Amino acid sequence: MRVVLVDLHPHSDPVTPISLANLAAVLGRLGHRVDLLSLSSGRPFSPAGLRRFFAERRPRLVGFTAYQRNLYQIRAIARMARDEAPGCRVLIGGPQATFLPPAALAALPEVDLVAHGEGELVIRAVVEAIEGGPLTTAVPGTSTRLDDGVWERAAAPPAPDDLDAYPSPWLDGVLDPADWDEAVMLGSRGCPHHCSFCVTPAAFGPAIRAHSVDRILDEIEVVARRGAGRLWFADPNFSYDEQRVHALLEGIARRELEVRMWIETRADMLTPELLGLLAAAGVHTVALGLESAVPRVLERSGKAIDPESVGRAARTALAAGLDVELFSLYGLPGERLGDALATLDFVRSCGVAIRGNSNAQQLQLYFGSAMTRNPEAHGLRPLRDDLPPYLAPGDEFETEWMSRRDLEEVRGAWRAASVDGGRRIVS
Amino acid sequence: MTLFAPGEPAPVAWLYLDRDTPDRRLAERLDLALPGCAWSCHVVATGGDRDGLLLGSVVRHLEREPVAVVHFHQVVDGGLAGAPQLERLLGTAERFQTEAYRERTGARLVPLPILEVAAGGDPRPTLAAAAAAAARLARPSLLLWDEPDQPTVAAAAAHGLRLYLGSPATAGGVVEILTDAHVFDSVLDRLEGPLPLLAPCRPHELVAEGRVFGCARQWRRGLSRAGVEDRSEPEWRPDERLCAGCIADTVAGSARSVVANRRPNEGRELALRTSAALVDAGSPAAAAAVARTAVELSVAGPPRADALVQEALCRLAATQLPAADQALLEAAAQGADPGLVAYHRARVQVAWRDDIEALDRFAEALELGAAVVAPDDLRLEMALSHIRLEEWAEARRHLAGIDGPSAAVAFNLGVCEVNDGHPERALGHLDRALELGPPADDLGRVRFFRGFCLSRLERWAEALADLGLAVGLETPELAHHNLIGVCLFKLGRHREAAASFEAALALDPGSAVDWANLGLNLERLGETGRATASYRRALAIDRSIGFARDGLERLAARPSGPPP
Repeated sequence: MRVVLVDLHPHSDPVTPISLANLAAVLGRLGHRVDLLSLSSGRPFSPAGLRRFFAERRPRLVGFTAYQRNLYQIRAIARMARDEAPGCRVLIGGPQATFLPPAALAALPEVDLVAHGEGELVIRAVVEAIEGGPLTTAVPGTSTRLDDGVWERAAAPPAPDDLDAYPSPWLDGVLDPADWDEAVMLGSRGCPHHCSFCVTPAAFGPAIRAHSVDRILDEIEVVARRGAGRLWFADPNFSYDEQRVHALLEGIARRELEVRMWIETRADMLTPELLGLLAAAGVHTVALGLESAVPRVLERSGKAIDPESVGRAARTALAAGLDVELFSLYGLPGERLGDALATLDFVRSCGVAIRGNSNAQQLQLYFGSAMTRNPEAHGLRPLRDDLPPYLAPGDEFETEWMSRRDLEEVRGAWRAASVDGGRRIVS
Repeated sequence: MTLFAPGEPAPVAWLYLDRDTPDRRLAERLDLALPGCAWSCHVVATGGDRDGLLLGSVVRHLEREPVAVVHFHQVVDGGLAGAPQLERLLGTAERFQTEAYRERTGARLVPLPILEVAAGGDPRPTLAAAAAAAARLARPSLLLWDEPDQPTVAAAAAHGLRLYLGSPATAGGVVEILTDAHVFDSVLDRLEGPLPLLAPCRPHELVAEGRVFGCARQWRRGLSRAGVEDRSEPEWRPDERLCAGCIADTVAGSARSVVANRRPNEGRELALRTSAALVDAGSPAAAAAVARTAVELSVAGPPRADALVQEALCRLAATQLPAADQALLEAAAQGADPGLVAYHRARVQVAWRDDIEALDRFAEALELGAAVVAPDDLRLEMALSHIRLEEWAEARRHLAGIDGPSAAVAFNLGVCEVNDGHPERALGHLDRALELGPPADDLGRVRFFRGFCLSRLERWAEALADLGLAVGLETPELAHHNLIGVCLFKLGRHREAAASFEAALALDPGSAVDWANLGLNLERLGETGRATASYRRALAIDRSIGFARDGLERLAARPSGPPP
């Protein structure tokens, strides 16, 4: 079957579409013909060219990774695909789709299937269902618009504990490292923590599931030999298992792989010894989740970490020659204007430059987080009741502790302190 | 495999529409071009679009393609006369802004009015109109034909307005001003990115005088690609050969605009780096003009001194030697490192072939100490000056003062020794240079001099081997062919020797000794007619070549017949 998967970044340069590439690898192993489109402002495409592409390929399925920020453009491209390839089905997955409220389905006439389960399993089920003829029952792991127009939801199949059950897009040639200045790697999924602003635990579960060290090393080797050798690990907790990290770093040294790596992890997982090993293996930047420098605010958000330990880890990492990025948010429950400004001072006091990911952003209320499910319980007041049902409040809220004006003041303070004009790299 | 721009590349991000083509024609062109343009593109209408035909075309495109975004830059009169056009633009954008608010996305029609203040006009009402437009989510800018006064600059800065500056000297009018800004912005974006500074700027197309041009530079040169009515698929590729010159001209002419828009530091940084890129690209004269802009944008003291040194180096590379020396003197007055100034002034003298003066400057640099020039580098430069002056002992003295092993030092010691009549010692130095591994560019020189030493020692076959290697490593010159010819002659390989001397003469037909050498080999080959002619050519150029005269006499005395 002919499938087109679309990764769309309308306001930024392209990023390795690792999640869609995982799905493409699954479909490739099943013998389907897949085109993986990476559309972004950094690699211009024309509407006419895109129309011609759909008309020539005539896909039977077009899939998108949906975020709050690209849903409008996804809908436009979905309409285009349906115009040019009549009969093709449209599937959306990704964070916006996984937790999409049922009320939103009717407001998305361009969409036929919304994925809720693990992508690799869902895509296989969707393709099999489309090949099987009319959609008369919901596809496992999706909300499906049946051929009679009614939406029906089916439970997701259980996901494997061992991620090596899935094929690798790097090893199968779905992704060519030569295409990317920086390759995104995903070695594990899931998070055992319960930060109420984050969707990761709900999306992937509390248990961390991982690829084997050998599989990751094989992927790194391909990227190091064929690409620029710059890696960006998207694992939410890169160093959750110290033994595993050691094995990975030793493997990089043993295979003599020259790589430069960006990783994100929790400060309480970093020891001076591990930092030394990371630096020796080619890690250039460690990103740490600080969120707030005020323990009371962290506690209210369910983030069980001591800011002082983050500061210590940051300083130790800087002393080890690594660059450090601190993720932080403002507008958190219980946070007052002074608290938010104290976080800015704290980041600076750690010696961390305010640039890239160290530019704070306002808390975003996305579907799937505990805060979005019940904002009032967290003291958050969404400002709009006229949003389409497929959009979450995002940053359009005030809190019991900070007005819109306060939030703007915090934004201005961060921007004034930024050395790169407040540009974020990752999110 | 991942695809980034399916179907076809979509390079046209900007369309410039000049006022000298009827709006109806331009609207037809827009209807044709927009679907093939990048999904997020810019349309720049310089003519006011009085009847709204161009805006209508844009709206049709946006309605047809909901994925598209158009940034519509429209030059309108900043006074009352332009109010209707401004209102139409802002009013049309409102529906897209409403859509953007509803969907929490960016507006798909972005209004960017360029409010024009005529020469002699009062900018204040226009500033007020710009502020009002900004309040309606437009991103206005001002186009001024007079030098802006300080209150205007301050007000523009306060409102975040960009200033485009024209003058009576702006031959290309509004299009020239806006396309200069386009090129400048394209290059400025690269200060932090991976793209080379001299790569083609943001893709654009220009329609003027009823013709379509691939870029602003092509328009200035009158290189149009098609008529505006042409419906065939145009070629969108820029002519990259023009890019470096275009970028150089634009950055060199940017100082006034950069200052008015309060971005002197960025402008200076861009000028310095563009200048360096132009030197690397082999355009030192253009680089010097750009470096001059960096000087103009630098505050007094070390920043200006650095820019002046950069300018001097460009002028040196462009062999604009008096200007290079002047820039260095100005740099010294701005507090540049005196040792560095002395060093570069010495290099200027070297370029002037005044090694005596250069030696004084190098000595001064050595005495003053330059932070970024190692004393050993200065000693080597001094040795080279002495070598050019054929002062072998002095050259050796400086080379001896250099610490540590160096292929360059060993090579130049070899040069001194062979020229001073010590080929055996020279050979030792050259072998040491080879051991130390000279830079690839110098390897051919080392081989040549090795061959030269061996020839002095009459080790002809070995000499020939080194000279053969030298020819493979550097572009053969007269000396190569001559020396190879001599070796071959000594080895009795007259046919090959003759060919070598012919190769030498192909490079310099005025080389008397090579005519004589050719004659000698032809004589040995029994080609008496050609040998006689060669001897005669040699003597016609230089009557003092005794062996040519002897050869002629021998041939004249010889009875005709086969060679002995």
